[in-house]
Formats: sequence, C-alpha cells, structure tokens
Amino acid sequence: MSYKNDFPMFARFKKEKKPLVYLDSASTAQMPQCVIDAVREFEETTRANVHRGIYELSERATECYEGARERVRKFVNARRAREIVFTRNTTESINLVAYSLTKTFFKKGDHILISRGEHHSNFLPWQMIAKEKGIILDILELNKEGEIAIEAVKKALHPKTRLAAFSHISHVLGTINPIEKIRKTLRKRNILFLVDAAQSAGHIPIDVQKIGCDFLAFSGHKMGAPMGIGVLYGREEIVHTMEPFLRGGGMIRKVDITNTEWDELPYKFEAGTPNVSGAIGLEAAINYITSIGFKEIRAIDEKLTKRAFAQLKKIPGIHIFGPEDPRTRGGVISFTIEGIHPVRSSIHFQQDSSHRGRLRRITSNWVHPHDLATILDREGIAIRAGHHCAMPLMKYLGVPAVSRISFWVYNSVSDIEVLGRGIEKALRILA
Amino acid sequence: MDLLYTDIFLLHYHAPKNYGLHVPFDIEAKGENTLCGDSLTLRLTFARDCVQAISFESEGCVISRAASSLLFEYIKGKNRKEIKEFSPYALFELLGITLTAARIKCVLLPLETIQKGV
Repeated sequence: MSYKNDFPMFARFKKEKKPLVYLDSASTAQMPQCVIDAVREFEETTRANVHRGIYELSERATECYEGARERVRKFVNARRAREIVFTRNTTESINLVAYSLTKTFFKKGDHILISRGEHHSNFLPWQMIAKEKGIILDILELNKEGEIAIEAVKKALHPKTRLAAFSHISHVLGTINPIEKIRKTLRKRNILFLVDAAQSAGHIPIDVQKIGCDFLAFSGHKMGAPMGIGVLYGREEIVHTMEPFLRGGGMIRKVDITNTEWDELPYKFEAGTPNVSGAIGLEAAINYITSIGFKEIRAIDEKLTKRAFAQLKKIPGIHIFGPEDPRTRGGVISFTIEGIHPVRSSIHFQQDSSHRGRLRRITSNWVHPHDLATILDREGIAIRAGHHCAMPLMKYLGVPAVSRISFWVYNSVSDIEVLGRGIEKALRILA
Repeated sequence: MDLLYTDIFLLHYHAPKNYGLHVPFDIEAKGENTLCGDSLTLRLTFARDCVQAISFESEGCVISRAASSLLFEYIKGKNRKEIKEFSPYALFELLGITLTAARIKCVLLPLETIQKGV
C-alpha cells in the first residue's frame, strides 16, 4: 500500500514537472494531510492561550494541549503525563537537561560519556557544560560496524561517570544502538542515561520503561508533525529535583520580588506560551503513525534499505557506511563515491576560447557530495549532503562530507530506481 | 542561460586553467571552507601593480574549482584595486551560473582567497 497520497507535498511540488523524490526524512519528514488538518482545525476553532484564561476557549485549548501530552505519554509508554515536557525539538530537550543538571547535579571532576557518532545536538551541550563546570567529556569510539558496542561502553566508563548520552539510531550510519543493554550496564553504576531518539521516533517503537532511560528526547518534525514541537521525557524521580531551564510566564506557583516557587512538573520546564498547535499536530502525527503501525513502517524501512543497498552497490567506487543487514539498522544510508571512475564521461568538451592548446586533466579523488546533491536536485531528487552536524564523526570516517538518503512511509522502490538513474547521470557529468 | 554543470563549466573543472603551483611567486594565499572540506592555494606574480602570472591548486567540488579556473584567468592583467573591488555579483555574471544559497560559498572561496592575498 502506498502512503504517498496522504502527503499533499507530493501532489503540489514539482521540479520542472518532475515529481519529487524525497529522500531526506532523517532531516525532516513530510507532513500528512491529517496533521495539517488537525493544526488548522485547532487554529480556526480552539486557539487561545493555555493554563491562563478563565473563559471557555482557553479551557478547551488547555484540554487539547494536555490531551496531546497524554497521547505522547502513551506513545513512549511513560508512567505519568508529567514526565512529558514539550520543547521545540531534540536539541532544546538535550540543552534543557545539560543546563539544568549543571545547576544541582554535576560537580567539578565528574565525567560524562557520549559517542563519536553523536549529532552536534547531543555533543555541544555536553561540551559546553564540560568547559564551564570542569567536567570531563569522554568520547566512546564506535566499532567497525559503526555501532556502540556494549564492551566498549564498559571500558569507557570512569568511576566518576555520572551521565551517558547516546543516540538510539545513528543519523549518519543508520545503526540501531543496543540501548537496553547499555542501560543495564549503566544502572549497575547508578549512571544517568539520556537517549537521543530523534531518528527512532516514528520509525521503531519507543518504550521508556522498557529502555529504562532517565531522559529521552525527540523532535516532532522528523515524524510528520510540524516544526518547532519536540519532546523531553524525564523520569519523575530525577526531573522533580531539577532546576528550570528557561524562566518566565506560566511556570511558577508564586513570585515575589526576591524569590520564586516553581510550578509542578512538567510546567516548570515550559516557560512562556508553548507551541500548542504544534503539540496538537504531534498528537495527530502519532495517531497517523499508530494507524499505519510500527510493524508496517519498519517493513517499509527494511525493504527500502535492502533495495537501496542493492542499487548503490552497483556503483563503482561507492563506499557505504554502517552495517548492511537491514534488520540491524534504520532507513538512513550514508555513502561517498570515489572520483576516479570507470564510467567514462559521455560528454565531449567543446573547447572554449580560453582552452586552446593542450589540456591537462586533473583527477579528483572523489565525487563531492555537494555536487551530487545539486545534480540530483535538478532531477527532483532531494538528498542530504554535508557533514550532517557530526563533524567529529566525519573526521573519524576520514571525509569532510557524505551523501545521505533516508526514508519514511511515503517512499517506494521506484524512488530508489529514480535515485539510481540520477546518480548514474551525475557520474556521467562529474567523472 | 545557466551554465552550471554544462560543458564549458565542466571543462574548467576537469582541465582547469593555471593549475599547478608555480615558482617563483610574489604572494601565496590559502583559503578553506571547513564545512565542506574545500581548500585552495594560489600564487601570484606581479608586474608593477598588475597580476602577471597566477597559479593554483585546490581540493573540492566542481563549482569551487571551475570558478577558480574561470576567475583567475579573468583576473590576469588586473591591478590590485580592480581585484579588491571585484564584487560577488560580477563573479556570478562572469561565471554565468545561478546557485542556491547553500552553494554560494563554493564560488566565493576563490574570490575571497585572492582578495585576501592582494
């Protein structure tokens, strides 16, 4: 069954009459009509500020907002709705935790453990507090397959490690990390555990109780919800001791000139007017995902990953990062292509006036991902190219940039075929 | 017409003019786009105030190398003031290409490097 028709983007956007082949869902997923409708319905019939007004409209808006929170709670199987904090995105969720824990939890000389593969959003907040507070940031190296190996975690732990933060699915390598096993190791040593679920939410089921993590962060916009709504799950026993990240309206119990009493969870972490319509959209996106079911979504990711590997491996000089077995990875595939290429250019140069005389051909050692992405864009194919906000990982892979394709429910085998033809065309131009 | 990835543009990528660093030279300048890994080294020889000879080597994408080839060929014979005052808009016109915002830095690398050097 094709889900493409659920997404108006594919009917509306054409690249010079060519249909859109969208292969950048790991960056942002497209939004289904039902989410657009839910947001619009709220704005047209229920819009008012939440937790403030005494009038009916405000009460209805509050009910919708809290209804969305309850829906998220159920989605990640948190024990209580007050463990769900609405943020802007994964980045803000992780910054919230890092900032807040420095106030009361971390001491000088403590260690934090993250991996080489983390997105900058799960890197820079820790780097910042490490510098400010005299904390040591330990970097776990990935194994050959690009995974976080459990033995490596055990080795990397320091007696003073107080928190570890890892991604659930790598946004570059696609690897699904064994976070439940990691949690077991950490628990024995009483180490807090944050999971960056930006790439897993909307792709595989998330159960915070089963994982046993203390924090879990994800973004709505990567799972069909609007941009600007994200989630932080925080285990109540931990978050109730934490200080607010932002201060302002709506998060207090009592304010006088010198002192303030914070509101209860989760409101003390939601200063200012929240993104209510975004939360409504997130609820609708969760309903959409649930209506399809993770079994089906996972089958789509696996099928397309398998097909994409078969297609990409035909390209001479290609190097695909991460494990090949689609069962051990998400629908995210990064690759580079070597430049010295057996596919000879079909282009016969017409010499311009500045090129009289003998030509000296300069070979490049690779096809620059930015060139590949620009040429594919002209075919209506959207891929990501660059450092993917993971410069430490790029350094480890030995390249400044990679090309990445990623899938969601609207993608099909024909998208992969179009991609294959697009890459062949690009190589005829570039090689 | 947009000349990006057309024959003429690609020719300047595959067989750039003034490629291969020369000695002797008066000035050497280096530029880098750390975000995409592009790097450029260029050497200039002056006769009075004008560029007499130019040579360069680079690593990077099609756009940055072809733009370097086209720009540096054009810049020969120009004086320091003319080089300093050469605007990015004039460069886009010279190259005959239109770029998305994310890739403008690719063509600015050779311009900024030579302007830094002179």
